[in-house]
Parts: sequence; C-alpha cells; structure tokens
Amino acid sequence: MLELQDVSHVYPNGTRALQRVSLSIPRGMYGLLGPNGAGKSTLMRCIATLQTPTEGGIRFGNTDVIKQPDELRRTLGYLPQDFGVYPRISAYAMLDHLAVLKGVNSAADRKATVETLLHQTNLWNVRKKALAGFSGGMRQRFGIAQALIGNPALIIVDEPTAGLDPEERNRFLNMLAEIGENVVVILSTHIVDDVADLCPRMAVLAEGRVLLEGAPLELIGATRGRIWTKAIERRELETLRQQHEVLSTRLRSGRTVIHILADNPPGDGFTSVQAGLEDVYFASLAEARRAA
Amino acid sequence: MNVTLHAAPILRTVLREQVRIVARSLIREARAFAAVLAIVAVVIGVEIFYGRAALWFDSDDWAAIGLVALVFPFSVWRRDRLFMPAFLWTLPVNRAQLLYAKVFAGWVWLMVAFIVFVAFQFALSLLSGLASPQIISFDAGIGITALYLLGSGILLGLRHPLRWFLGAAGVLIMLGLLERGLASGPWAFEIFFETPQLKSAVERFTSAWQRLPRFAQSLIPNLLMLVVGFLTVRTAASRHADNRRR
Repeated sequence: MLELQDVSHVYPNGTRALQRVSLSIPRGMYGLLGPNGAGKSTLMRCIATLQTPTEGGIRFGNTDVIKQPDELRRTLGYLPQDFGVYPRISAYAMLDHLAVLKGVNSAADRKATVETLLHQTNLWNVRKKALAGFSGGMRQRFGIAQALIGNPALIIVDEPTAGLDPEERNRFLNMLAEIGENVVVILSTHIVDDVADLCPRMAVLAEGRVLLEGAPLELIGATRGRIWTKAIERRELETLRQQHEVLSTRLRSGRTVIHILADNPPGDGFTSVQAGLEDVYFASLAEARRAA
Repeated sequence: MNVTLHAAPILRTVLREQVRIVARSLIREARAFAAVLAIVAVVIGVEIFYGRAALWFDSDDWAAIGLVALVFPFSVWRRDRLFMPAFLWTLPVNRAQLLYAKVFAGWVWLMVAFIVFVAFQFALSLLSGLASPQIISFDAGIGITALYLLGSGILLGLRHPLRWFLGAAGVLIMLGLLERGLASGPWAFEIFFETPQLKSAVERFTSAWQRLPRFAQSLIPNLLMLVVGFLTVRTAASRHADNRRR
C-alpha cells in the first residue's frame, strides 16, 4: 500500500503544485486523472523520488520514500515519457544496461530477465533495432519492459498512451492490466477512457488538490440523476452555456449533443442520461471551478 | 505490507557496463576517427610513393589531441539530462558512483583512441623512412587525461558548459589581441610585471625550473593539470549527489 499524507509542494517561484494531497493507493491499477497543470507530474515525481515535497509524508510499505529514496528505487518501476540517453543503442543492449543499473548483477540472471521481458512485451523480433527507430507503441512497450526489471512492487506510468494508435493502445492497456494484478500501478493520465477501462480505483486531481477519490463505479453512481443530455443546434450552445453547467459537447450525425450538470430536471427538452466516467470527471472539475 | 527489495547494483558491474555502453554510444565518433586516419594514411602513402618525406606533423605536439580530449566529454554525456529530474535518477544506482564510472569509461576509450593514434603515427614514421620516429611521450597521456578531466568537470559542473567554453575562448582571443596591443606599451600588465620584487621572483623561479631534469619540466605541469582535473570532476560530482529538486 502506498500512503500519501498531506503532501504539499510549492515551487521556488511560489507556484503551489500540490496542496495537502492525501491518498491510500492499494495493490492493483490506480488511475490519477487531471487536466494539464493539475499537479499530476509533480506528484508522480515526488513518489518516484525525483523531487522532495515541501511538506507531508509518503510511505510505501515500511519504506519512508522521502527519507529512504534508495530503498524505494530498489522496488520501483518507472515508465517516463522519454528515456533521454543512448537512442542509437539496440533494445536488447539498453535493457541489459538498465538491468545492471537496477541491480541485476549476475550476467545469467540478466540474460534471462532481458529475454523474458522482450518476449513478454512482444519486442523480441526487434531486439537488435536501435531505440531511435522504434514507433511510439514499441517505445511504450520497451518502457514497460524496463519498468518491470527486478520485479518491482510499485510501478508508475506517466501518460503512457499519449500518441498511440488504437491497436497499440489496446495492446498496451492489456499488458498494464496483467501487470496490475499483483503490484501497485499508478497510471497518471488525462485520458478518461484509460482509467475507465483499467482502474478499480482512481482519483481526480485539479489545481494541486484531490477533487474525487474512489472506485469509478461508485463515483459514477454518485452522479446518477444529475447528468442531462440534449441534441442542439450549434448556435444554441452559447446561450445554454450561460444557463447551465455544460460538461461536454460532442458531434453526432451532424448535431451537437451536450451533457449538462443539474441537480433538478432542467426541462427544455433535456433528458436524464446514465453518467459515464467522463461526465464524473468534468462534473468534478466544474464543481471545483464553481467553488474557487 | 512488506516490500521485497532487489539487490543494489555492484560498483564493479556498473563500471564494466559503463565502459561497454559508452563504447556503443561512441560508434559514430569512432567511425569519424577511423575515416580521418584512413584519409591521412592515403595522403601520406602518396607522399611516400613519390619519395617525399611524409611525416610532416610533429609527433611530439599533442595540442590538437588535447583539444579533442577537452571536448570529448560532450560526446560521452550527449543527451544525458544532468540538471533536471531524469529517468536514470529513479534507478537504485548511486548517482556520484555512476558519474565517476561514466567519466572513467569515457577516459578508457579516449586512451584507446590515443594509443591507436600513437601506433598509427609510429607506423607511418617507419614507413616514411625516418630513422628515429618521435613518438608522443608518456606524459602526453597524462596531459590528455588532465584535459579530459577538466572538460568533464566543466561539462558536469556547469548548467551551460558550452557558453562557458565559448566565453573562455572569447576571453583568450581578447587577451591575445590585448597582448599585441601591449607591444606598444608600457601598459598596466607590463608595469606590474616590471616591479622589482616580482621580476626577481620570476627570475629565481625560472632559474630553479631550468635546473630541473627535462622530464620533470614536462611532468610537473601535467601532474598539476591532472590534480586540477580531478578536483574539477570531484567538485562537479558533488553537484550531482542525491539532491533532489525542491
């Protein structure tokens, strides 16, 4: 279990990136949703020992992440958006290199680990190809392969499906789901569908605060009866925005379909609709904006 | 919840791995080096064929190699994010240890290139029929190492090393121009160096220096440079300890 207690972070320029974030993250996939600038990356960096929060505590099992970063690193798998170094080196050589730096000291163990991971991530046939020549999906699968070196108990994946085509995204999410059965996996993203498909628990973060936390189905249930929909003409949108809290707009067969948030029936042709996780997400952001 | 930690990386394995991976990342530079040697070999080969003395460069002059050694760290550390939270920081390897290991790995390959270059020169000298080919002396290796360490220290210790390099080059050029101007003196520099106390101190030092054996005259400055190089790398390494961003 990963425990965050009142984690706050203020950058030297005064920006409050995190404000008293408290979360208990159990084993399994955990989704962290939020718009750009919500503080997700800062939180990920704090958990991944790349950054020290100005206040609060982070514990993983018996490890105090802030005081014992080296201990956490010995059980951490981190999938960054970019590895940065050695793009001209083959996938096999790079995995082997990272295995050394992760503490797989025996050459035989390393060989077995690297070969297993290349098979598991379906990269065996391209193992001799330089990383620079990999497609986005291949790079993400390589990222997962390196994150799994050393059987980590905590895996952090930061925006993993950005830029993937639907097939690659599907394959990648299936792989994450398999991994997430036995370890803590934190999936930080702004793509609601990724969380809806994968995560039994999730949190919504905005402006450095936790707006919502729980199981997606519970959160959807809590919004029941408050989401309303209507197909409108495009020109009506501005007027409706002034009258209601518009959560989302979508084009369907040339017509604009809007979802609004309202505690009581808004009338005017609106009908109640079963909320989705996207509605929950937008509703929480809208409520946070109203409260601010 | 009890978490099982896997083993920490062993220094010896990390060191060996750095030597291996740095070699792989320097393939482009190695090819360029081989191409230069091949071109030089062809040109000198033609000279030898027509019976002209071929080895026109002074084999004891290693200034050019020293310059390469100074900027070589830019190749070794290319694409490493040194001053921002980077992926490698999440690995359990000690950062300072990793830094020293990579500096060492770069030095190993620099020395390999240096030895290849000396052997190449030696072979060409023999082929061109020069009786006793001068080979770059042993302390050239020390000097090159010192410059490499200095370059590594500058690269690792400064956030904008290229600007510092260019700035330093600019200052040197300015000083060169100033020196020319001083010929028509007397300027402040000349007046300063002409003070009796300083002049006699310089003369005493020069006379003591000239009494030293020739090898010592070459070795001492190189060793001093080596110490400066080590200290620069050590100072730079202290900036890369586990001081996470705040």
